[in-house]
Amino acid sequence: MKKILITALIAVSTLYANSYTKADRIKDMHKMAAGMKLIQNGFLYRCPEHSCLIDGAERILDVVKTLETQEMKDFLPDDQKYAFKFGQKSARMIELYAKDLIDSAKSNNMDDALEDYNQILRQCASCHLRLRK
Amino acid sequence: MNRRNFLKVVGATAAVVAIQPSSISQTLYANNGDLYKRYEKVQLVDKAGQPIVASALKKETSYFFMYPYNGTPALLVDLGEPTEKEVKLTSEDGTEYIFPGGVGKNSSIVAVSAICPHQLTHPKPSDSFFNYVPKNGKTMAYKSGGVFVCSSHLSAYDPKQGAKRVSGPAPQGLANIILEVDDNDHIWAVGVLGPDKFHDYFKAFKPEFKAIYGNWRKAKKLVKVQTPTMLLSEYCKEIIQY
Repeated sequence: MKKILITALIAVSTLYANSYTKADRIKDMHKMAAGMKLIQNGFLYRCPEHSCLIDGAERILDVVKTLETQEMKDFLPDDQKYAFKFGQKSARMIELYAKDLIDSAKSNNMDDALEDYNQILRQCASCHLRLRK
Repeated sequence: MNRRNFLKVVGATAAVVAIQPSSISQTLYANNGDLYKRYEKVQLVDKAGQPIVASALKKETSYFFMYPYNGTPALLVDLGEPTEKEVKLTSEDGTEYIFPGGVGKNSSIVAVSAICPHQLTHPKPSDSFFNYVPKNGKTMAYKSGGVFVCSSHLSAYDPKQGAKRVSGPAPQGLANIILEVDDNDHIWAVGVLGPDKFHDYFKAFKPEFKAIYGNWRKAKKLVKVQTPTMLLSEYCKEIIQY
């Protein structure tokens, strides 16, 4: 009996530890928004060696990495679950542009970095417009 | 200008055009409502380099090719029935242009630039959210099939009416790839009709081109002589359609 209880307890705690809750998702979205704000600051203010741009893009990449490990279907609204592949596509595009933004900033190519920022924002807005009805 | 100089100018111009026919490529904003840009005349060929035969196309099936640039995707479809002819269309900025109609024996073959004018969704090797939905197919983007659909934000375009937007958030229709079918029933792409989004597309997807081509400038090279044509399902790992 003890064994069964312990096994059940471990199983429940493992499940709980692995679940990606709505609170986690909101926290991650806030992290991405903070990353975007930091990038914007990087364009508007002085940041040594474009550190704001790079730091902002890295924060976004960290969240994208987390999202890749989650089943997107689980946290989309019921009537939008079917569109999870669109969400995945948006995440992939954000990753591509965030990586390019870091490369562009490091090579001091500010035109490309700005275009990357625009495209990240576009992907964010595109996904939110589509999946938040 | 005397007669000798005039002949020299005419001769030199003819020589330039003979050597490089694309030098006469131009955008025409004609009074009759045409908005047309002629590019290289390019033959559609299969993977083995053999010409695509118009009458052998599978009906209502999306074929993929690149035109007019190495990185600008286009879809070719035999609709199975004739398109409308001389369809008057209007671009986002109000410019009018006229879709002449499909080609082939049945006037049922069309090709479009597969770049959605809304947010530039396009087929990629990994996936395609852009596709032709057959007449008996279903889509969330429109009340019936027989349309090109961008499944990113659900815009639909009617190929029988020159890819006119019929639903969704797109601000205008798709650009048409103008085709010619020769006496041997082989298909050639010769130009682009309607408002294309190539400039925005090249600007927006630079990182994607870097990833696919190594050097993004390769994507901007004009297609010349022939362009490989295949089923969309062969080009993309996955077609996503809502």
